[in-house]
Formats: sequence, structure tokens, C-alpha cells
Amino acid sequence: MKVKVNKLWIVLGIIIALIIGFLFLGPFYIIEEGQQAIVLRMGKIVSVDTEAGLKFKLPLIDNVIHYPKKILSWDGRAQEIRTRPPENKYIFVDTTVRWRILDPTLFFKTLNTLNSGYKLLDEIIDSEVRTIINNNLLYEVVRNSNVINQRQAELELEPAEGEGEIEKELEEKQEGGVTTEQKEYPLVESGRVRLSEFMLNNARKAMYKTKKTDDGSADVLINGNPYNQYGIELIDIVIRQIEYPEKVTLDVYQAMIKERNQIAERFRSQGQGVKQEWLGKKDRELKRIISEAKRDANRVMGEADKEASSIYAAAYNLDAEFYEFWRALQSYREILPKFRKTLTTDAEYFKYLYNQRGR
Amino acid sequence: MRNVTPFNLPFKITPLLVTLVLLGLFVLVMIATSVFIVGNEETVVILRFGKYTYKLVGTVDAGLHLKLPFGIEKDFHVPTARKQDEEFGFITERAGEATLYRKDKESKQESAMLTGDLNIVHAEWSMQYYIEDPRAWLFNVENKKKTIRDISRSVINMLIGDRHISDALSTARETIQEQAALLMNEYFDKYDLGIHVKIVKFKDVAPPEGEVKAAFQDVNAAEKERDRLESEGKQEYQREIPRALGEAKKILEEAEGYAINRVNIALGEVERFKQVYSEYRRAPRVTRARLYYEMYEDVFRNEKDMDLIDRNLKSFIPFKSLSGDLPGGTR
Repeated sequence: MKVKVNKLWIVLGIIIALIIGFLFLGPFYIIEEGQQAIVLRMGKIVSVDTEAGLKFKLPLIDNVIHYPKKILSWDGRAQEIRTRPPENKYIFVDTTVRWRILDPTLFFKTLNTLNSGYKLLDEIIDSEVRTIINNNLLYEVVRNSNVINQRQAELELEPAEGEGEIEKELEEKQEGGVTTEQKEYPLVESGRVRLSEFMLNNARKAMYKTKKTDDGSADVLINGNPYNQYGIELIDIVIRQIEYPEKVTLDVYQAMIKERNQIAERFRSQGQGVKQEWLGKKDRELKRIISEAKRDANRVMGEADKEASSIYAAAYNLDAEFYEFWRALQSYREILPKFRKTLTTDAEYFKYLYNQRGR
Repeated sequence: MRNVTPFNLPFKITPLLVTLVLLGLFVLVMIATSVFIVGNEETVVILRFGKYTYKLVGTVDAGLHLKLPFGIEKDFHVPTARKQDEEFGFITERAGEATLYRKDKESKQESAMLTGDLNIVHAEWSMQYYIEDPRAWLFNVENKKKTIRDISRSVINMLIGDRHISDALSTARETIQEQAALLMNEYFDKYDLGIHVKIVKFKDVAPPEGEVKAAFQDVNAAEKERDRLESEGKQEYQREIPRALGEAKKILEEAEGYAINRVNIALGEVERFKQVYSEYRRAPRVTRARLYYEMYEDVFRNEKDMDLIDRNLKSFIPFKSLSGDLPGGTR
């Protein structure tokens, strides 16, 4: 009984050992999602696996090399590049590239490792970026469209605020060159995105050019993707950042400061101007209001004088002689008490003084 | 079998015991490698032998799940329901009621960009995205975070590069934010990255720190000053003009008063004249004389110290002193 048990154990042990041993030799390999692999049998490529899953190989003999199927990034260091003469401005252009291994067989044959892939990109991309930047003016690289020239139009669409004419005038002045420089910027021919596309196309071509075995018909497509002898697909080249060198940065800062100072000065002087304008307007209004009032007052008084005069005339014309007499009496009454008086007997009043019959 | 127990254990090591222990270990490892938990906010992608097999969505399948053990099936957890953030040009030190931000050399460097008029601004922004396709997210792009950051920076650089500095600092910000989200999504869709950018938001777009910023702020100050001066002028105007309008009314009212007064006096005097005249017409001589003498009486009634001179006399001798007092002196 005991012997039998031991035998069973031995058999089991051997089977397990065999299985473990077989597995250790590696008859399987796994390709995970996002990976691809080629299988080398004694240095010769026997199969290419781009689909994930569990695969078989000959243990010990077959060698599996994994490559990523994912999109990879290439990150160049920002390089200082001169723009097109006669501008000759130096800028730092920082580009990144998306790429992937489209054909692991070709990739294995020509580049073999990811590092040499990156190195190839270093060589090609840097020089293509440089070429394109060298052949363009700075604004072509910085800008992507002519939207900058639409700003004036946009501003004009805004309704003018403010009630008085002064404000309107002020508004016009502002648009006329204080806050919003009316400057027309040169029209962009290609712009940043298209220049990036040019770089990409040139880089792709550069990869074809080194192809020696092919007949030169460059545009090979695999799965509809542009393709080259390295088995690499360049997906895009993107300008991540554009910067001035430090010295230029400082110059630009100075220019910006000057520009702002000018605008600030304009604002201040404008403020003084508007204030004076209001003060002047005030003076004018004061004079207008008072003088108009006086004018109207005189008219009213004159009309009254005229009316009074015609009233008097109408009545007194009834008997001019009597009026004269009556008016004289009134006037004497009014005026004579104010005099120091010495009477002479000449006055008609005294005509009965010496003579009861009158003089 | 020899007892190989190294210490004095209370039991002997037998094949059965070894088998049991191994079996126990086996079962333990099997359980440990087959149980996993699906969280509410995540989607779990299951690979069998490296190949995508199925996924579990947390909103439906949250809880404990089983998979094939020993690495035959692997679970990849992706927080699909959770908002993902990236920050550019600044770093959130500590989020909270008063969130703390800081900047390091790199964030300062990545915030600098050229505007369309070839000036420099510093932009700080953040983006929020959701992982919408966990399978694509896991297996399509290497260096996802770097790719996202590269594209975000490139898009913002490009959009700012299209604008005038004044616009980039103010009016165009909203537009740029919207365009940026659209453009970024275009790129990410092209890569099939499996994410969707919801929001791109500027935290700040500002002129470079230091002197330049001070110059920009001075423009704002100058603008305020201009407005202040303008309102001072207006104020002065407002203070004087209403008073002047009142004064004008006063002048007019006074004139009206004069006019009424003048006409009424005229009417009154004329009325009186007419009354007297109608009397005079009836008895002209008598009335005339009466008026004459009444006048004399009125004028001289209250006089006390008066001389009456007779012109017919050659000598200058007062005839009579009406007041009764003798004149002083020899006059």
C-alpha cells in the first residue's frame, strides 16, 4: 500500500516536472494590446504578429522581439533657427512628433531598436524644421490666419457708448489709434499649421529618399498610410512653442513697455483734454443761458414799454393841450417839493395878490 | 520516511501535509489573482492572454468580480467617470477654499508665447477631459500624458499666436478657449486617444512679470485717470449749468414782472386821466383853475421857510415871509 502511494507520487511528480520544464522553455508568448512582435528563427524572420493574444513558437529556437504598436512621441529640443532673409530673426522652435511602427519587419531590418528610431527622427526632423523656418518670415510661423486683421472691424460693430457728443468723439479718437492700433498686419500665406504640414511632408520624403532598393516610386501606402523603408509612419509634426532668445526677449519687453507708455500718455492727455472740453462747454453754456435770458427779458420789457406807451398815447391824444397842462401839474407835484423854494410874484398864482380882478 | 522536521514541531511532515499545504497555497494564489473590485467611477478592461476580451463599466457592474487566475486574464482600471485635469503654466499646490498655486521653472517656461503682433504674453490655462474609450486610452498611445500636454500647449500657442496682444489679454480669451477645445479634440480623435476635452480655460493671460506688467497696469491706471478727469469735467458742468438755468428763469420772471407793472401803471394813470378829462370837458375853465390851485396848495402846503419876491420892485426886499419868520442876515 505504501509502495503504491509512493509510485503514484513519483508519476505525478514527473508529469508536473515535465509540464513545468516545457513551460520554462517558452512555447507560448503573449502579445498584449498595443504591442506587436516579430518572430525570429535562427535570425530569420518567420512571422509577424500585430494582433494581441496567445501565440505559439518553437521553444529555444524562436526568438520574439516585441515592438509597441502604440503611437509614440518624439520630442526634439528647441533649436535656435534664423528666419528668412532679410528678416534674419532668431527664434527657438520647439517641435514634437507623433509616430509609430507600422511595419515591424522593416523596422527590425533597418533600425532594429526604438532608440535608433528616435535617432533617425532626430536627424530628419531637426533639419526639416530648420529648412522650413529658414524659408519663412517670423509672422508666418507665429500666426496661422489673418484673424488679427479683423479686430478693427469687430470693434466698429460695437455700439458706441455714452450720451454726449464728447464721448462719441472720444470713442472715435480711441479707435483712431490709441488703444487699438489700426495697423494692418501682413497677410499670412501659409501659417503655422500648414508650415507644420510642409515639414511633415518633407520629413516623409526624406525618409523615402534614402530608400535604395526601391525603384523610387515613393508614395507607397500600407493600410492607407504613407510609408517608407523604415516601416515608420510619421503622423504629425507639431510646433509646441516658439520663443525668442533671451536678448531678443529683453528687446521685445522694452518695445512693449514703450508702446504701453505711449498709450498711457495718450490716455492721460486725453483725460486732460476732455476735462478742458467740458469746462469750455460749461462756460459756453453759462454764457448762452444767461445772455438768452437777458435777451428775452429785454424783449418782454420792451414790449411792455411799447404797450404802455400806446396806452398813454391813445388816452392823451383825446386832448393834447389838456394833457400837457395836467401832466405839468402832476410833474410839479412830484418834483417841486424837492427844491428850496423862493417864489416870485410873477407866477400866475399870484395874479390876484395885488389886484382882485386879476392882472 | 525520515523526519526532516527541523524543530520539534508537534506534527510530522508527511507527503500528505506537503500536498495539502501546496494545494492550499495554490488555492490562495488562485483566489488572490482572480478576484477584483470594480469601482463606481471606473471601467475595467479585461485582457485574456493579452487580448481584449470584455470590459466592466462601474456605473452598472460595480462590485466584486472574478477573472481567470494566474495572470491569464488581466484587469486594467480606467477612471472613466472621473474628471481629469491638466494644468499649464501653474501648479495647484493645494486645492481648497483658498487654493494655493505655485510656479516652477518649467511652468514659467511653458507659459511664455508669442502673439500675432510678435509680442510676448504669459498664458496659464487648464484643461478638463474625460476618458471616454478606455480600450483606446489604454492601448493606442504611449506617453499619454505627454501627448496630451504637447498638443494642448501647441494648440494654445498657435491660437495666441494668431491674436493681437490686446485681444489675447482680453476679448479673444473666450473664443480661444472654445477653439482650443475643438482643435485639441481633433488631434486626440486623430490619435484615437479615447479622450474628450470638455473645457479649456485660461486661468490668466498676462503680460510678462515685472516692468512690462507694470507698464500694462499703468495703462489701466491712465485709463482710469482719463475717466476720472472726464467725470470731473462733467461734474463741474453739472454743478454750474442747472444753477444758471435757474438764474435765467429769474431774469425772465423779473422782466415779466416789470412788464406787468409797467402796463398796469399805464392803464391806471390813463384811467385817472380819463376821469379827470371827462370832468374837464364839462367845465373846462373851472376845472383847470381848480387843478392849478390844488397843485399849488399841495406843493407849498408844508413849506415853512420861503421867500416871495416881487419882480416889479427894483430893490431886493422880501415882500413877505410866508412862514412868518424873518430871514436872517442882510439878504
